[in-house]
Amino acid sequence: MSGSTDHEAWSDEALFAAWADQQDSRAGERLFHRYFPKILQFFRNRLGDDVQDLVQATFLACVEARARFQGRSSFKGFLYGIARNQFLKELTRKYKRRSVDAAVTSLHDLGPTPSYVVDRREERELVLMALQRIPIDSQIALELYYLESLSGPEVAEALEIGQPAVRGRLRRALGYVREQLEQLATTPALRAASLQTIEAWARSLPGTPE
Amino acid sequence: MERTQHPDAFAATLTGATPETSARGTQASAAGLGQDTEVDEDIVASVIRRNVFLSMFAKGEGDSERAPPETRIGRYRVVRVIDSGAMGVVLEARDETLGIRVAIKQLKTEEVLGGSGSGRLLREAQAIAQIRDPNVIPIYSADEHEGRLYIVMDFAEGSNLRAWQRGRSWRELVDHYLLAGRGLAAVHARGFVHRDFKPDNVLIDEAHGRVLLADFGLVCRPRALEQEAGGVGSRDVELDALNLDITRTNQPVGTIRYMSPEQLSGARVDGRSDQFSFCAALFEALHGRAAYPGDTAKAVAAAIARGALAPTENRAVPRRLNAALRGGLDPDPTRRFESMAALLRALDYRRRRRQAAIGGGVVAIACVGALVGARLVSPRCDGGEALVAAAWNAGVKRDITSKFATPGDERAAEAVARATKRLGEYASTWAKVHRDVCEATDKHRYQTEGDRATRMRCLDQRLHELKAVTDEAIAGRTASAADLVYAAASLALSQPCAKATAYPQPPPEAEERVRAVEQLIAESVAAELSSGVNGEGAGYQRALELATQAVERAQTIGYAPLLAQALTRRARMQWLTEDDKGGIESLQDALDLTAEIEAVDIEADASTLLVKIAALGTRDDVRGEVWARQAQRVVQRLADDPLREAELLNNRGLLRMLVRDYPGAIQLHKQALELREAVPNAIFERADSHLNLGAALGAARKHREAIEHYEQGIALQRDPIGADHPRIAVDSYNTALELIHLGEYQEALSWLDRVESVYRATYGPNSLKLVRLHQARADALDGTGQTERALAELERAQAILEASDEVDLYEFALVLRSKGHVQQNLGDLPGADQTLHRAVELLARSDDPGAPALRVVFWNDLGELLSDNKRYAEAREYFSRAKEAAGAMEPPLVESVHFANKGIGRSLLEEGRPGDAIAPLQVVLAALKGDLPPLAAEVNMLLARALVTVHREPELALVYAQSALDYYKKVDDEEFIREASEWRDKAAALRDESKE
Repeated sequence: MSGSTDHEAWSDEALFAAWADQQDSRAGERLFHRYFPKILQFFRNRLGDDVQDLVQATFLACVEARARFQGRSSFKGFLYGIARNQFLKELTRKYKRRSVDAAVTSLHDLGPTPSYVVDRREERELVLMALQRIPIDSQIALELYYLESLSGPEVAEALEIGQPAVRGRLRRALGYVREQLEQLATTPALRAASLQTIEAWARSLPGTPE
Repeated sequence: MERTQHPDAFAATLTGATPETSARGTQASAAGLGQDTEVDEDIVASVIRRNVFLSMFAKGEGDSERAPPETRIGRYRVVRVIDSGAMGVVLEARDETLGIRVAIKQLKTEEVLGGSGSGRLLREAQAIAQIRDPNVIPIYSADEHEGRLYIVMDFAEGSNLRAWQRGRSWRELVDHYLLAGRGLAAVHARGFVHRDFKPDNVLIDEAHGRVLLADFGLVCRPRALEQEAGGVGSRDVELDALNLDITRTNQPVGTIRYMSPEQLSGARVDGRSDQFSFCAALFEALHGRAAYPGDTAKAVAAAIARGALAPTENRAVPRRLNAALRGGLDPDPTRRFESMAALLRALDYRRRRRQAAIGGGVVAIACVGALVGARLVSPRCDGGEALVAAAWNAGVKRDITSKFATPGDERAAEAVARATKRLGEYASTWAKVHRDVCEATDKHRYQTEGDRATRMRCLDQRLHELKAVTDEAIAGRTASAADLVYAAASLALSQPCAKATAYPQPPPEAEERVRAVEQLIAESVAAELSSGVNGEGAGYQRALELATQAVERAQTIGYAPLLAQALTRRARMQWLTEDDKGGIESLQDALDLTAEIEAVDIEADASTLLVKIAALGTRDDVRGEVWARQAQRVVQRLADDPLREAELLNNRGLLRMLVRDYPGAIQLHKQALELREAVPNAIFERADSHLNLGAALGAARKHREAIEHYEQGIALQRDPIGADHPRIAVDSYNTALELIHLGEYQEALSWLDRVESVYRATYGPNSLKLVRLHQARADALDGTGQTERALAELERAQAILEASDEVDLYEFALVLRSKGHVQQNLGDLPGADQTLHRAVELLARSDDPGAPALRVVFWNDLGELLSDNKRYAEAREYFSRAKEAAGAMEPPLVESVHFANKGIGRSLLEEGRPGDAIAPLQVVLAALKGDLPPLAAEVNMLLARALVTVHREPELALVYAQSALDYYKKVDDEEFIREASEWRDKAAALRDESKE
């Protein structure tokens, strides 16, 4: 068994292969510690603090789905894809619908969501509210690309869409956010400020020639 | 794919969504987890990290060594994250010292703890810890951990009020809110304001039946009170720990929808602000919508400012209750109630009447409440066994056994043993329910005293009934051991008493007289049950007399629920003794009374019985449906009462039978059965459902299914009442009829033989039941070709009828019709003619107002019968006579005219004159205009036949055949589906032919 110091330098994919295929649990532990904060954050952003089961289900499912990973390039995209599925399952369970269509349903549509903070920076709050009101998959796409630094192909993997579609998906998502901001902003100044933020994001779409 | 750097704004936006990430970390750094681990981890993250790690990697002993360390807060080991909100995170933890589970709430936002704020919150938490109230969650301690305040509370397993309240009746909702409101009152009594009342913050501890106010995250002590209390706390005007000027922002309303306007605007709050939140939450629970609707805080604030309270939705909620809510929701705090306690009194829908009787006044009410409490909270929880022992004990058992046991009669001995076993079981169940109801208030404070009083009263009534049944038996008024078994097994169940909802209690001084009336009601019940199935005996009469006495005595007391109950009892006995009109009047009186009071159980019983009388007594489907709708509204207000709900479904099913809507009846009876099946011991109720379902299925020609249900009914009852009981014979008789329909005559005959011996033993040799039995047997014998024997059976039936003083002429006519039919089959045409004419004469002599109409129907029947026997010309004479008479009646019997025309058409067709048949049949079809689908289908089929036979208009024939086929498919009638398909195919072939 290799020591933990060795593992630290390994790539995600190497760790996952060792864990899933050779039952090297130390490799699994390393990978777990590496991604736990991100996955936890992914769920907490959406569902609040009562997310232990989802975090656990995500890591368990990624071992179970190892066959599906064969030939894929990015563990990160793969893991976020599983997290997204767990999240959608949770929504379906929570809202007792047959299924939540992540392409058209927003978190806001599903009713009151946990509120984390009463924020005094109104612009940020406005953007947060807008993000709550756009389709779930659009929101996830924005988060993975801009916050979690996933590459275009990784986002494609997480959302289970083709690579060429990512750019369009992100662009459309920003369009939704823009629409929401137009509606939500109470003052022209606030609207201008928040739209500027969105324009800045839009300039960094994947494959955009600057 | 190229990518540029992400703008910081986005990351900042999203990470900002969870402030915990910036909170002080825990032991994660000490674990030496390496660079992959974020050191700065909050409690939620470290708890979840460890738990998930353990579940995934700790397979063996040593594995947990590498696990992230346990998270501790003080001496508590955190086990799990329960919940989180804006203010804090709630954790399940273990107190290792005491070995108990606790709930820890740690505040999240550091600013609250900054400097003096922290100290103030801590002092407040200490103050809350002093509140000892059964409806406030016990707080064990409050302390700081790494600069953040945490509170240790009782761990209450269960749900919160929001999760619990879905689908509850208004009574249940109000009862639970009242308990939570007591918690608020206790908070106020200590000089605090909760400031965050919402259903999420009320815990329902199901294991111990507690309703607990929790989450004091925003609790504060108003300045005025602080000053009174000696200037504790800061002088700072900033009482609002959050200083949320929410109206300026677009904060989604989900988090603030129960806040009072003064709280929304950041103004000073006191207990009246909690009143507002409490009423807002209760309003929403009752009416399913926000009290002041709006998407944003701003919109809500505007709605409150306008006083734009949402309309009340749930019409079952009493108006006074809504008025009290409106009072609590007044935008102006000074116009709300003077205290939480006053609000709770106004909301307590059970207190209303008493308040009026006593003349109002807060102090007077409080005294009455205490009095009633003192009377009811006596240590009676252990007394159930003693009480029930007075009604059922070894002595009573001995007396009963010796009363019925005849040496050598094993059947009687067996029956008595069954009866005493049943009574013993009943007694012990009663004692158990009694204890449960008693303890629900005394131990758990889970039920209000109003509920308890009503439930105890219900149990008293059951006990009276038990005693009355044994008294009947010992006094020798119970005719046979079989009747005692039936009475014992039919006693109303005690369990539903535990769910009875409260209604006003009688004034204490009337208690004794009330009990006397209740006794009479119980005796009436016992007399009814003990007269067994042979109700024509003295039992029903006695039961009616007792009920009448109960009504008369109750009238002198002036306690409405009791009088309504007595009237309902009398109504039932009036109906059973064939006085339908009297029964209906009694029930209408009872309903007038219940309209004035909140006694929904009694109201439900009365309105449901009304439907039954319409269905089985007056056979008045029109009024029946009106009453059924009224009853439906009443039953909807009941809290979880499957038996009453099922009874109404059952009676509605009986009504559907009247109008021959068999699919409707089947559906209703199935629903009733389903409800009854969920109630343990509701054996006879279930058996009734099987019986009624069988009848409906049989009428819908689903004979096999019908038999299945009869058999289930028999199986259910065999154990309690024995296989030879007349109740079971009814099921057996019906089974025989279904078998006859199926053509399984031999099987039917053997069932009928068994039934006959029971009928003879129970009802004597000359009962009408035997007439029907002979008739059924004649049908079966006729079916097997034993026509002579069939005739003999019908003659036996006729003999009973001839000898009887009171003959049901319709019944008699039907017997004669069968006899005529058999005679025809035997070739005795003059005899048949004579018999049939006798039947018509009987109807003519009858002074029954329905007789002329019956006679018309009968002429049509005769016509059909003659048609079947190929005497077409004579048949048409009868049809013509029927048609003429039906048309001449006032109002005309339109349906009979249709049937007569159809008969004429059919006889012409069968006689080989299809061309002549078409016109009268088309007349019928045109006149029907969609009415009477079965007749229309038959006419459609006849028309298809006629057209095909004369080779005319194949397209039209096809349409006729298809319409008939559609109908028969809808009612799933195999035989006619086959026939209609045949004619459709022939019409289609004819059409194709003519095209070629």
